Amino acid sequence: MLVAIIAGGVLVSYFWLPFAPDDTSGGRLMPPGGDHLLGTDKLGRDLLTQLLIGGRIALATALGAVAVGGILGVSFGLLAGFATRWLDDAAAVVLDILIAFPTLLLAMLIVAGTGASLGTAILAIGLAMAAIVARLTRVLVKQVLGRDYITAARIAGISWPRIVASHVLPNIAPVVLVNLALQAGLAVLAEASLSYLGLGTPPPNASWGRMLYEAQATVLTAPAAALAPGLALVALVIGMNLTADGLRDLADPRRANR
Amino acid sequence: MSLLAVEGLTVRDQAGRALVDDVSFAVAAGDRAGLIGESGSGKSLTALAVTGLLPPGLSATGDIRLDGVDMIRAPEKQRTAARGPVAAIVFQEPLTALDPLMTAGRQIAGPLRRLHGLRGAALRSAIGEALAEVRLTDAERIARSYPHELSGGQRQRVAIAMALACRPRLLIADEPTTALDVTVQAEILDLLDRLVATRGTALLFITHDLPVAARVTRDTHVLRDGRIVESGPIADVIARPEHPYTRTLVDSARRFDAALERTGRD
Amino acid sequence: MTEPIISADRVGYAYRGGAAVLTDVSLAVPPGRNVALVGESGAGKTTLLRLLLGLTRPTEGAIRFEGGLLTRGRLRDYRRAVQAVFQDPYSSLDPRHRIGRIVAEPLRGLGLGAEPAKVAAALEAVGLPTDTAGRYPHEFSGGQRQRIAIARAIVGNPRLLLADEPVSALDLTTRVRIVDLLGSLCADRGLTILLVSHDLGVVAELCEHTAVLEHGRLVEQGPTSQVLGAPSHPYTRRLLESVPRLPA
Repeated sequence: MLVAIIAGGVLVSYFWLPFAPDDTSGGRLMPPGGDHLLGTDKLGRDLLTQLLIGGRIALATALGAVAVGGILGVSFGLLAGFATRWLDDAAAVVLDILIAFPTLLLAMLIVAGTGASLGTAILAIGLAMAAIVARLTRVLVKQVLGRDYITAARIAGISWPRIVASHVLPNIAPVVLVNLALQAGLAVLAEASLSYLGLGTPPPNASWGRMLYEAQATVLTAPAAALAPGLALVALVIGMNLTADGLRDLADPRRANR
Repeated sequence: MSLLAVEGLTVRDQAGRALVDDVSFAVAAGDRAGLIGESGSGKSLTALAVTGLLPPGLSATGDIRLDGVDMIRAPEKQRTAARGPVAAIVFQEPLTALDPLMTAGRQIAGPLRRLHGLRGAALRSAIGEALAEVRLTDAERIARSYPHELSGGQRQRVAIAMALACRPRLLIADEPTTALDVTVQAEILDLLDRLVATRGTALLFITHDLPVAARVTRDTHVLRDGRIVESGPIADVIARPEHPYTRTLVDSARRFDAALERTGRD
Repeated sequence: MTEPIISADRVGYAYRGGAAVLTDVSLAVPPGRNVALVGESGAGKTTLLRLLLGLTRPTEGAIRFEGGLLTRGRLRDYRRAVQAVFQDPYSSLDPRHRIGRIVAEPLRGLGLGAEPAKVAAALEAVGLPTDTAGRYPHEFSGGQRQRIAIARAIVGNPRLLLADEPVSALDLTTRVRIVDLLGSLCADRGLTILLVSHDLGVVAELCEHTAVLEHGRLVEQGPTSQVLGAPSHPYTRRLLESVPRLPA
């Protein structure tokens, strides 16, 4: 629900914005109300406009990182899950090292190499996510492969690709999807942190992280400028966590049947 | 007075469904009683209720007295106090009952230290004794081993040693041999049989396996769908089952016994 | 003499760099003669079964199918003739598939034509109502799940059923019913069973031939009446003495 509201807002922003993003005609640090629903920032830009544009970036990050992390992570995890003993051990070590690397540090390294842009931020966050998803997938695949219904399928003459498609993926999907939804929330936070540090979306595009950074000097005189992106961030992350719970319920045939 | 007296025990889940329904039985000091039932009969829940270990979400009504302590209404502290020295429990899968991060010796040391205040050399020799009593040869190596380093039979022996270390007056065994191989099962049953006999410990043995129950118990209560359908000395119940369900159970067991007997005659 | 459906010919198996799990095992299953493989955990029963199912290759000796070596090219014919049932009915059915799809799997995988009528017939043969096909595994008890697993195994009319401890996870009364079901499938459909079990009562009830496996070696085999009636090996005697029985 929260996600839907924010996604709806972002969608609207592509057709209509209260003000142009670079319109500074409204006076600086105006309180909420009147023409500017949420007030203006220290350059006189409309806060609601900035917030909506920041929402685009937050959602793009979430979707992009989940796509990168999900596809890479699940593929790599599947390979490791099926791999022979020593290859699998090697994969596990590599994954553990990658996971021990803080997402932000990894992202900073990549950004430092290629320059700050939304694309590199998404790529960096996605790569970090892929390692976590791959480790989870690997463990889940191993669990499922130990089940007798896999042996039964082999005896029934089903080929490995079809066993993966009809038995392995459906059985690991619920846990992986829930994890991806949780990771999406973390990705949004990571992007905000990168932007806050000046390593994410470059100006003039508003990102919630940079809005927070810019508002921090004036937080006592104009709290709305800090509160608005902060609350939006919290709402989106909570929303994504709730989505994760919802997905879990939906995916369970035991519940779906009732 | 009975060591354990259960009167009108009813266990309900959150939906109010009775999983154990109006169950009454008693175990006197030195007695050997069996609760026999198949999956869903409520036999394991009865054991948990008796020890005050029902999982959250389940509620018990009725009356359970373990050595006079009210195991349903008494405060947690009193119930815990009754568990150690009065009644100890052994489960089907010893792996879940043993702490994976503790050596067998330290696990047995726990209750000895807590309840008997043993320390140092006295504690070490008590651990050795406890392990020797469950016929674990090479007791020193086993005391130093972690649960996953032991075989299923060895683990169950350690669990029994732990349960008996504090000389409880009642031993509750919930399917203690179901996960074991037949030859190991026979050994564990012999062991239990001998230990309760020599110490005069009362036994409450819970199983789905009628022949196993016949091997170690004297009185029996047959449970089905949460209710006791038949009670009595096990020899009589097997020879003259009254309830149709008990008859099915006896007939089922006899089927396989008879098949084995036939091979001897051909 | 009739050709055995399958046979293990001096089979050995060892993990790479590890100790031998199976040594010099020879066993044949002729049509119509149910064979029991008896042994306890760690004896190598499961490994032998995997070899017989063509899931793993023996490191020594050979598995033969209808007289010829079991090669990759004959695997499909082999699977049409040899199916399996496992011990744990909670692990052997995919929780995300409906029963109809589960039972039809061998038909699809072995190119036998997955007509719903065949699935319905298999379910009927194991004593389950036809509406079972539309439901999910979690709606069934252990005994019913084992019936579903048996239906999946027999749906393509195999000659041989490899049954790995098919009743040991079940209650006593359910056990009797599943053993009866297996017995009647043998009688009605000309099915032969290779039963892996540690339950000697079940073995005596179902099988004409018994082989005893200890530490990866066959220590004794022959007609069940002889092996269980007058055991010659001390391990077999110990197994027999360990069986709990009702007082007469």
